[in-house]
Amino acid sequence: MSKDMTTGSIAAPDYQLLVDSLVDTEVIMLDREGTILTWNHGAARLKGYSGAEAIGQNVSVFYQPEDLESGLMQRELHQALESGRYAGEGWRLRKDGSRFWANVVISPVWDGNGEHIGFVKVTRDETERIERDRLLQRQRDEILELSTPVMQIWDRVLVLPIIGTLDSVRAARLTENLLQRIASDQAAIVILDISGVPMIDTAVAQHLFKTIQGAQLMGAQSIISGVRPETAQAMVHLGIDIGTVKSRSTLSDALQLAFRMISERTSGPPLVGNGAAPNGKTPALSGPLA
Amino acid sequence: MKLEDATPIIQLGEHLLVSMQGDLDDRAVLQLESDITRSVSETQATGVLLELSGLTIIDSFIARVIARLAGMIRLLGAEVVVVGIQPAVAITLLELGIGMQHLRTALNAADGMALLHEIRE
Amino acid sequence: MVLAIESPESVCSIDSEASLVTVRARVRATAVDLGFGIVDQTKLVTAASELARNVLRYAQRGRMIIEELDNGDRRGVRVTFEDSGPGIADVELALRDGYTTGDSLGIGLPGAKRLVDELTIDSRPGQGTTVVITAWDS
Ligand SMILES: Nc1ncnc2c1ncn2[C@@H]1O[C@H](COP(=O)(O)OP(=O)(O)OP(=O)(O)O)[C@@H](O)[C@H]1O
Ligand SMILES: [Mg+2]
Repeated sequence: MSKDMTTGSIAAPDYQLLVDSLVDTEVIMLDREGTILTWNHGAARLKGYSGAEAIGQNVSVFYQPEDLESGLMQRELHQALESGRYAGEGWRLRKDGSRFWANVVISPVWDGNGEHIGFVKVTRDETERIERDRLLQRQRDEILELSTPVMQIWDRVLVLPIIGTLDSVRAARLTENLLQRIASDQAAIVILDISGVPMIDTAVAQHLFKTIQGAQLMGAQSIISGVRPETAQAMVHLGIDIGTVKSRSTLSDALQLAFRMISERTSGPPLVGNGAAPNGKTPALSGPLA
Repeated sequence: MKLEDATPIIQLGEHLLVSMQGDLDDRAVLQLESDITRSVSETQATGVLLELSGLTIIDSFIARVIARLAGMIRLLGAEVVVVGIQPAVAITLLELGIGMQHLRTALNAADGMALLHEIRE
Repeated sequence: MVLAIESPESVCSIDSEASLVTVRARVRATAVDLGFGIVDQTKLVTAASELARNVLRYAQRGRMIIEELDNGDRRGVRVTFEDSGPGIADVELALRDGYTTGDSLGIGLPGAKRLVDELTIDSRPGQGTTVVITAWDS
């Protein structure tokens, strides 16, 4: 029997033993108002209070002041009673005032006559998990930023080396960055190098297609480089008119093409985003994208 | 030289420069469409530069009118180049599902004018 | 939990061509107020423009309600378009690209759906249509 385990009137010995063996999980009983009736090892470890300190206190001492003010504790107990169970997560306070991310489950307890006598509350410390998630998310964001660098390599020529897989979040970010750079640099040519993309399925090709179309709407012409045969297949499948999108198998070929286009421009006609449309063709909306 | 008081249609030699601006309701868009086609036929312009940097949104209606307008201008024997679509507007158009790939585009008015000259040559 | 804040000036009637401009301006102001970036602003305003035009075209009149949302983590906005017009018999069909009874592109509803995080339609033929869009700051 644990020293700081105090037996409430509704706890049977087996139950105490079970509960006390849980050193990582707080399992405590509350009366109807939230007064703490029992305390276990897990609770002591988690919150830093001994049984003597905790029992008799109201469970509200573990809540952050702003949560108490917004009525969080009442809502939790109320929901547990109404729906038979409350489950939620949030910041709670330890004895020393530090906070931890709590995973909380509260269930109502009824006596033999069906009368509501209190609650059992199970709390686990998920701080590590939430911090790991946040760190991961932050790293992911940083990688997203890093892996979509738009480089200006020549006056009015941008290169966008795409490295890694292209999901829709990243593709949206990439398109936005690129179009903003086209506007700020007044770039006439964009080279999208896809040699660093491991697999181009139709979803990825669709993203690329949108990026190219976006550049085109703004008046910049795209060159794709690093296209492998299977990529070409996916793009043809999507109905991308290769006639209007120039493509080279290597980045250096694409750069050469871009330089040639730029020098033609300085000595003659301008570069245009979509001058390739055949003369006399009736302009029409393309309609919904496939 | 300004041809119309209500709409900013400016004649530059044989070309017309039209700057669509502000938040236009559907009636204003239709009015602009007919003003432009009338100006093209009256001035016998050979090219029209549609400058759209002043549009903060292009919804499906405005997009449709722009595409139709380009078609009518071509039927009148002139060329059309669209310039100045904002990045956020371009992204939104694509998400909406409107490609407008058949429009000629250029990055800015200078490039657009040069393109109109090039097409005529 | 999502808290919704609705202020009296966030209701706007849609009954004329000019309402389109008002609708766009109101929605833009809310998006700016919530700190939305330029792309999110433009998407939201464009979606609202499509839905307000549908109200005008198919029901002649209706109203828009703007509510700011806060789920503790992110801020967002919910915009409701209500009318008592003819209603939509087959909502699923209306959400399909290219479906139109108005001799148009049939892009308004499916396009608006792609521009926001959530779009729901509640409609009963003969009674009216309510379209609700929700967008969160990305
Ligand atoms: N508020 C509404 N009341 C009644 N019917 C509506 C309403 N909104 C849409 N609809 C119906 O749904 C169809 C599809 O709407 P949607 O906005 O997608 O296309 P559209 O208005 O026909 O064309 P577009 O928006 O591309 O100009 C409409 O043609 C119309 O039949
Ligand atoms: Mg519509």
